Amino acid sequence: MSHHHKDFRLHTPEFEQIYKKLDRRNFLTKTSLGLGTLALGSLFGFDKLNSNSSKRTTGIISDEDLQKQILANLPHFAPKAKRVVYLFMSGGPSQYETFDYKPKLVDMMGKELPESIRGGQRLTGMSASQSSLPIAPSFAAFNQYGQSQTWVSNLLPHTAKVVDDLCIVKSVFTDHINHDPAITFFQTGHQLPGRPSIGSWLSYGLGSDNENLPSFIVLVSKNGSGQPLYARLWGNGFLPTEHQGVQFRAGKDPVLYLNNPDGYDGEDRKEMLNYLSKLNTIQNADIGDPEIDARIAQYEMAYRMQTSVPDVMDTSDETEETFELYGPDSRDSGTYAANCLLARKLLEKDVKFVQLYHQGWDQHGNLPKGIAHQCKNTDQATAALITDLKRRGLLEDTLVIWGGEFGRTVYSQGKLAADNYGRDHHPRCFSMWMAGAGVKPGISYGETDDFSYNITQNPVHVHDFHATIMKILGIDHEQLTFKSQGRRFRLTDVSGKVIPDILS
Amino acid sequence: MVISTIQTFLGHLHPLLVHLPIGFLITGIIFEILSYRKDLHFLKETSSLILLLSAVSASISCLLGFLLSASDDYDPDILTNHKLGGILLSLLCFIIWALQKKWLSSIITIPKKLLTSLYFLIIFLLLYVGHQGGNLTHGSDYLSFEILTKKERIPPKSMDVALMYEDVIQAILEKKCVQCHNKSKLKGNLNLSSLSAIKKGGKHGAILTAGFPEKSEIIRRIELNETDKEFMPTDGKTPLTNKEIEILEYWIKSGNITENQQLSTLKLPKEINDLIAGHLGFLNEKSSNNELQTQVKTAVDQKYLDQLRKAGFSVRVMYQNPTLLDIRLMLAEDKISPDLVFEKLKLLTPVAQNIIWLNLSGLYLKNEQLQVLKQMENLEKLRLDKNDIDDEIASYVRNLNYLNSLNLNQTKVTSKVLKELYGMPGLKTVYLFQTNVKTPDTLKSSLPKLILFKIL
Repeated sequence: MSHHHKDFRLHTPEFEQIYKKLDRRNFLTKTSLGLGTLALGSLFGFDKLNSNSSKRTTGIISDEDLQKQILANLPHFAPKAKRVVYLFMSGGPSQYETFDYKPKLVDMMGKELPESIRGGQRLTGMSASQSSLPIAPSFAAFNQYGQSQTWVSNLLPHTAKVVDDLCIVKSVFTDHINHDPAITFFQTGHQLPGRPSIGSWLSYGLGSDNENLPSFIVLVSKNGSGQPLYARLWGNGFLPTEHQGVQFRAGKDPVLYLNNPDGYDGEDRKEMLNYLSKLNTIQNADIGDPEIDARIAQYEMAYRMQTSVPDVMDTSDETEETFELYGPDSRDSGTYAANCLLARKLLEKDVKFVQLYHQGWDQHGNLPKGIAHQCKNTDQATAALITDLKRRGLLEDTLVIWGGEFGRTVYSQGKLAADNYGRDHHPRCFSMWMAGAGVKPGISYGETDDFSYNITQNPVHVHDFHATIMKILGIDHEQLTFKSQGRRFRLTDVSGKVIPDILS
Repeated sequence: MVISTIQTFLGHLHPLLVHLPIGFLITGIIFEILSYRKDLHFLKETSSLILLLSAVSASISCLLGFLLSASDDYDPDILTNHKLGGILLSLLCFIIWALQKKWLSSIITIPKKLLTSLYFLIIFLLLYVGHQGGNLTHGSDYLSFEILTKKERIPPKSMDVALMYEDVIQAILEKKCVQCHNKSKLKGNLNLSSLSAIKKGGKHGAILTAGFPEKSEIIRRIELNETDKEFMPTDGKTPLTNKEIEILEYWIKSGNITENQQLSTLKLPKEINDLIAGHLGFLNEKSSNNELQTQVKTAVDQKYLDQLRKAGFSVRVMYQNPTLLDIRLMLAEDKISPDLVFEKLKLLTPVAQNIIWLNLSGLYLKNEQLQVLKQMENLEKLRLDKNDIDDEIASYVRNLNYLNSLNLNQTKVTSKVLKELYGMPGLKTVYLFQTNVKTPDTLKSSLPKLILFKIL
C-alpha cells in the first residue's frame, strides 16, 4: 500500500486536493509559496528578466513558472563554447613537477620551510606531526616551449608541444585540504554532497544539442587506484534527474542495463516502452511529480541510446594515425587514452559536457616515481586530444579543462632525498589549464611566491573558476538558480567572479 | 679505471688550490709596496718566502689544472689562454724569487724598482689568468662590463608610453634572435642586441633597408620555408609568429629606424596598433566584454524554430534578441539521403539571416545541394566536413563576408579552393584535415597570412 493510497490520506479539502493532484512538496511549491516567490522575485530583479520575454507576469507567479523563465532567458551572453571536456586529475597533481617552475628551490633543498611563508597554516594530520618541514625542489627539469616560451616540466613532453594552445592558471586556490570535500567542492561548488555537478547545471541551463545522447557523460579511467570516486560527483543533486552525468564504462556494456536482454526483440521493447510511457503519463496527471517527467524522458533516451551508444563507441573508422596520436593505450578500452579518444567522438556528436576522471595523483610518498607514472599515462593522450580537436575544427568551440582538486606542499612529507620525497595536500595554490573556446591561448595567468606556497598575483578561487566557465558558455552565474528546500541555489553559491583577463 | 678516478679527484682540487697563489701574491704585492716605508722596511725580508710559496702553489695548481682540463669539456680558446697564462705566472714567480737570491744577485744586480714593476706584471697576469679561469667555470658572460652598462628595460605600463624600437622591436629580437646574435656569440658576424649593431649588419652586409622590408635580408630569412637551409631562427629554435613578422615588416617599411619613438606619436594604422597592443598584452578587456559584434538585427519567430526541430535539426539559440542561431543537422548513417537533406535545408530559408554557426557535417551533400548557404549572409562558422563537395564549393561561400571559420575536412577539395577563397574579408581559418591539400608549406608562402591552415 503506497502513501498515495486513499486510506492514508486525511480528508480535509486541502488534502483532497493533494490527493487529486499533487504530492506534498510540489503542492506546497505550487501554492502557498507562490506569494513569497512574487516578493522575492521583485527583490531579485526578475522583473528585468521578464522584460526580455514577451509575456509579462500578472499576479502570482509559481516557482515552476519562475524556473521556466530563468531557463527561457538563457543564454545571457552569446556563448564562445558549446561543449566542455573536463580532464579531472583526481588526487591533487603536484604543481612543482608539472607547470609551476620554481628554480630557487634547488638551493633551498632540505632547508626548513620559513614560518613567514607558512604563516601558521594548519597542516593535515599526515604531516602536522613532522618535526621538520624540509623544502623539496622538483626532481623534474623544466624547459621553455612554444611561441609563448612557457615553462613545462620534462614529465609532460607532449603537453609541452601544445603549450601555445593552453591558458595555464597557476594561482587557483580552494577552501579544502582533504580529498572528498575538495573534489566535491570543485564539482558542485559546495563541500558537502547533495548539490548538482557542473555538468548537471550546464545540462539543465543549456539543454541538449543531441537528443540521442545524454548531455553530461562521464568516463573514468579503468583500474584506477587511490582516492575513490563516487557517482554523486556527477550527480544532479536537486536538479531534475535527466541532468545527472551518465557514466560510460569500458568493455562490451558501456552503459549498464541499456541493452535488451537476450532473446528480447527491439520492436517488443519499443511497444513495451510505449505502454509504460502511457502509464507514466496517467500517473503524472494524477500526482504531478516532476520526477515522473524525468523518468519518461529517461526511458525514451535509453531507447535511443540503444543505437547511438554502440555507434559512438565504435572506433573501427578511426585511422591508424589517430590511434598513434593518442598512444598505444588508446586501443585498450577504458584507459585514459581510449577515454580521450572517446571524448573526442562524443564532442563531435555535440555532447555538451564530457568529464574524464583519472585517479592516482595523490603522491604523499615516492612522488618522483609516482608522478612520472601518472604523467606517462596521461600526457600523450591529453596533448593528442588538443591536437585532434584542433585539426577537426572542434577546439574553437570546445573548452578543455585540466586539473585536480588541490595542489601539493613545497615541503617533503616523510624523508627527503634528491630523488625521493613526498608532498602533502596544499589548498593555497595550484595549477590548472584551460584551452580552446573562450580562453586566451598561450598565456600563463597568476603567480605564486618562490615556494609556490602562497599566491602573489591574480588569485582564482574555485567559485571564480566556475563563474568563468559559465561565462564562456553564455551563462551569468548569478542568474542561473534553482530553488530547493526553501532557498535558491547556484553553482557558485553566494560568491564567484568572472576572470576577464583570461577570456578571449 | 682507478687512475682515472684519482685523476678526476685531483683535478677537482684545482679550483680549491688555485686560490692559494692568488692570496700569496696579493699579500706579496701589499708587503712589497709597504716595504717602501722606512718603518716597515723589514717586510722586504718576507718577499722571498712569499714568492717561493706562490711559485710552488702555482705550479701545483697548474699540474692539477692540467688533470682537470682532461676530464671535462671546456671552451678550447679560453682554456689555452688560461693554461699558458698559468704556466707563465708560475715561471715568473720562480724567476723573481731567484733574482732576489744572494747567489744570483752577486752576478747581476736588479734595481729594487724593477723588481717591484715585475711584481706588478705578475699581478696583472694573475688578474688575466684568474678571469679566464672564471670564464671557464661560469661562462664568459658571467663577469663582464656589459652587466654594468646594460639597462634592463621595464615593460611599458601602457600603449602611450611604449617605445617602438625599445619595447616592441627589440623585445621581439631578444625573444627570438639575440640568443645567437649577440655581442659574444656573433653568429654570421651579426649582433642584434642594439640598434647601432643592427644597422651595422653582418657577414653579408646590411640586414635591413629602411622603407623596403622586401629588400631586407632579415625579413627574407624569417619568411623562408622552415625547411630552407637559410631559414631563421635555425636549428629548430622557435620561429617568429606571423604577428611578430608583420610588426617587424611595418617597422622597416615605416623607414623610421630610430630610437625613442613613442607609439602614441607614430600615427600607426589601426591594424598595426592592434597587433602591437596585442603583442604587449594591452588588448584584452575590449574583446571580452561580450558586446555582440554581429550584424544580425532581427528576432526569429518561435514557430520557425519548432518547425526546424521537428524536421530533425538541432537548434541552439545563442542569443535571443537579436536571435543568433547555431544549427546542426545530424542524421544516423542509415537515414542519410542527400536529396532528402536538400529538401530539409530549404526550411532554413526563413531564418537564414539569423544563422551564425552552421554544422552540416557528414551529410554527403553535393555542391549544388548547398545553395541555401548563399542566403546566410551573417554566417560566421561553417562546417562542411565529410560532404561530397569539391573546389566548386568556393563559389557558394564566396559572398559570406563574416565567415571566419570554414571546415572542409575530409572533402575532395584541392589547393585550388584556397585561391578561390583568397580575399574573403572575414576568413581566418580553413580546416583541411584529410583532404588532398597536402603541401601546406608551399601554400604558406603563396597565400595571405591571415588565413591559418590547420593541417596537422
